[in-house]
Amino acid sequence: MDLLKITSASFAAIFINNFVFSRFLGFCPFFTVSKKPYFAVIPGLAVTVLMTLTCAVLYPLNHYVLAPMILEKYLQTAVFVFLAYLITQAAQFAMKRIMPYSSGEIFSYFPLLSSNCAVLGAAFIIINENYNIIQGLVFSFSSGIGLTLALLMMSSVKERIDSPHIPAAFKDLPISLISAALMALSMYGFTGIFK
Amino acid sequence: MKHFVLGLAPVLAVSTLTINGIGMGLIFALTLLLSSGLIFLIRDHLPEIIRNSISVIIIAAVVTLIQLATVHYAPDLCASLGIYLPIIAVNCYIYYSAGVYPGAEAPLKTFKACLYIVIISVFAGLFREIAGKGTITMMIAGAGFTYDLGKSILKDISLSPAVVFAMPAGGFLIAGLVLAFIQHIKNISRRNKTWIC
Repeated sequence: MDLLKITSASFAAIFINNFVFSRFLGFCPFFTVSKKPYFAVIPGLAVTVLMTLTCAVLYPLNHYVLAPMILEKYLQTAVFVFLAYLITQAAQFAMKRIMPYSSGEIFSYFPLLSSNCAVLGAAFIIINENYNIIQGLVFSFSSGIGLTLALLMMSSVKERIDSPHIPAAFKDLPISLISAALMALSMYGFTGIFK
Repeated sequence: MKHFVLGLAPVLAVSTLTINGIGMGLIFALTLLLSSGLIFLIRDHLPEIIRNSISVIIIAAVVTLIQLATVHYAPDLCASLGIYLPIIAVNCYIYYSAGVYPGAEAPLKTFKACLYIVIISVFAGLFREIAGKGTITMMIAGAGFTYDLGKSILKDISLSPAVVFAMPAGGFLIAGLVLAFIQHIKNISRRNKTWIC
């Protein structure tokens, strides 16, 4: 795989097939993100690391354990779901140990567990699209960067969303969903840059 | 309410066709019902420390069973749902940790959640396909029909469908509008001191 292919694949994963805007994964962190950009970037990067790690664990497991035993049809879902749960749980524990003071504040907005959707989604996409291990790692890393970008965008729009001029029916979640729709439309403009 | 909507992500992702919306809604509701019933039965007999892990395993097992049944009876539906079928497990777990089903009043709450899921997914599928493509598709396992509204009703008028509803942005838009409607009804009922939903 040469450099151009890697660049185009990561560009596609960050902008065109963004995890939030075109695949509907990582919904929970996206809509519960805080107003402060710092609190959006740190969890986003944590999810990125987690996704890459999960890909690195689950890909060999699927290829060298489940596939030779012809169990991938029956056990793939259960094994993936449970291992992704364990990995996120361990990561949450590690984050609490590494930064005991700030992590409580950061993860009070959303627990890392709710980003499990994105973590698991990346693993299933890699298996479904028949990526090899390098493609899979590039894909999961750049999807995590795309998720961080989406979180950052949402946290900077959050101030406008909380303004008192919004009609009562649209307060909080509905207006966030509609602004997400507008962001998704603007992201659609990146389609076709890499042929 | 917030967690309930956020758990609906797979429904919004696949509901570009009517049949996908209906299928996803039914599968999701069935998974939620079965897994919540099983967890409700055994959760009091488990020690605190392994309760969540066992719940995850139960949810994953139920999702696997339903996935295998879908592959057998409706392979085309399973193909079009793709990765969002196993992802249901995570959303069920989000509901579990948000308190949609553990507790004394669990059965009633779960029934209510399932009803909402089916209604929202059917509505989203129907509306997104009619607005985005101008058709109603009800094809499952090679049987069924595709009803072309553009040809049969609007014969002389040439209208092009609003493609935005077939794109992912349309999913966000529909969810936002439906949620705004629900919040409006809630506000009215709170003002008039009557309780609708």
